[in-house]
Parts: sequence; C-alpha cells; structure tokens
Amino acid sequence: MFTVALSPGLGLTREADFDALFRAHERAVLRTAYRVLGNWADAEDVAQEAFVRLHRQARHLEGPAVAAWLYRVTVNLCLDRVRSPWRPAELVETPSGEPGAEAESIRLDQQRRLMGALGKLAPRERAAIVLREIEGLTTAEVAAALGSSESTVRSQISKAMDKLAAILKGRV
Amino acid sequence: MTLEERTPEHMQENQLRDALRGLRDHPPPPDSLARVRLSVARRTAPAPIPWRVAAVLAALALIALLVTVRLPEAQTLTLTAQAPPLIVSPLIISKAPPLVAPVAGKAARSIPMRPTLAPRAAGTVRIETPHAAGTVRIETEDPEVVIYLIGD
Repeated sequence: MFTVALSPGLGLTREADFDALFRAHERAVLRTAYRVLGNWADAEDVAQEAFVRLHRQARHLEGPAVAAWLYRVTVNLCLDRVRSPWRPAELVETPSGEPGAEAESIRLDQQRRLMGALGKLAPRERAAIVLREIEGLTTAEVAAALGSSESTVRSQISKAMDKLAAILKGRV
Repeated sequence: MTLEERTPEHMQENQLRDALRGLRDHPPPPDSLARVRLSVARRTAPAPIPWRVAAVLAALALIALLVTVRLPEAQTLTLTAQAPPLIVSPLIISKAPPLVAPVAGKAARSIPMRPTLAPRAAGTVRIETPHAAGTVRIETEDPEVVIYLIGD
C-alpha cells in the first residue's frame, strides 16, 4: 500500500506542496530504483528524473494519484536502464562492534544474497517483486505501476518467488 | 532457529517474504539521498535569465509594443483606402471649381451681344435726315436693314 497519500483535492500549486511530497517519497523512490537497478548511481539518476517530472506534472496530479504516478514513472525509468550492469554489492554497511553485531552481520549477508538473487530475475519480475514484496504495494497498485493486469502481476510474482527460492538454494 | 536455518538457502516462502520486506527498512546512503536532493533542487529551481537574453526579450517586447500602438492607425488608413469611391467622388466633384461656367461667363462678357430690337410694324418705312443734308436714312420693315442714301 502507498505509504504516503495526500488529502484528496490537494493540488500541487505551490512549491511547498512539492517539497512536502518530495520529502515524503524520496527514500521510497530512491530505494525502489536501487532494488530494480542494483546500483546507487543509476538509482540517483532515476530518482532525480522522476521528481523533476513530478515537478512539471504537479499541477495535474492530486492526492493518492501522485504516489501511483511516481512509482509508475520510477519503474519505467528503471526498466529503460536495465541494460546497465547489475551491481548488487553496494549495500550500506552498518557500524560494527556494537551490541548485536553478529546478528547484524548475518542480516547484511542475507540481504546481499537476496539482492544477488534479485539481480538474476528478469527486469519486470524484479520490479514486481520490489514493488509488491519489498515496498508493500497492493497487487492492483503494482499492476498500475507496471501497466499490466493484476492476474499478470500475480503470475509474475509467483514465478519470481519460485525463481528466487531456487536461486538462493543454489539450483540456478 | 539456528544461524544456518536463517540463511536464504533454508528459507521457506514466508521467510523469504519476510526477508524481502526487511530490505525495505534498509535506508538509502545519506550521501546518495543528498545528491538526489541537490540535483532535484537545482533542476526545479527557476533558471536565471542571462543579461543578453533579457536584453533581446526587452527589445522584442518594445517592438511588439510599438507595433501594437501603431496598428489601429494603419487599420484606419486601410479602411479609408478601401472605401467605395462612389461616396468620395461626388464630394470631390462638388468641391471642385466649375471648369466650364467661368469660361462661358468670360465669353459672354467678351463678346458684345447685339440688343434685340422690337420688330417694326409691317409696311412702315421711316425716312430721317439727321446729321447731314445730303444723307437720307431709310428704315425698312426689317429692323436690321437700314438704307442710307448719301448724295452731294
């Protein structure tokens, strides 16, 4: 589900509205772009392009439509860039030596493997998994973002989850 | 759960979903976020207009203003030029000085008109001897025929 929804009827007629929207969505957009593209440099480019487009279209978008529009643009920009090499090893390291450092280390290792497995999926399957399973969008919202039907998205996600499990178990 | 069981290779589907959801909590690098903020702020800020562009724009605005101000006058002239000549011509003709009448008037003044004479009564002849003794003036019925008899 979209985490940030503006009140209905709130038009983006002021820079303050855009700033608020930018702050609300910047992390999600950047994170989504990174999960789909696999590197932060490209993710930054996609995120800034998505927000610049949002700034141009702001007057025509209202309320929850903004979030849906933003995810759709982000995913489309990412899919346009999937020719770039997948670089999944750029996860941010947390400081070591703190209490629970071992558990944190395991968690980071788990995330690295997951990201590596994600990188082996087809781009659209990866985008579907990122939006549905990581960002927590509903199937309908994922379908809207990908421009597909809900049944197609369900099928893509089911196949992608099977592939992920197989990849993580070393079968692929 | 042992550490080995928590590795991705041993995940069930639900655990895989939980692990994927855990990626959501992974924050983007602060410098990456800062770069995006900076780039978006730069690209969405109104661009400053260079002074040359501003000068050209000002000149174009001035030209447009001049054209706009002069346009109504030009339209009036065009309309006058396109007006049907039938309305203008009688005015011109009526104001024009008469060309024929003065000439006729001058001719009338320059050429002495013969005074009309009243016809005499039929059959009357008058004989006068006014100035000289040897001259006889005879007026006939026709007022234009006068006979002078001059003798020694």
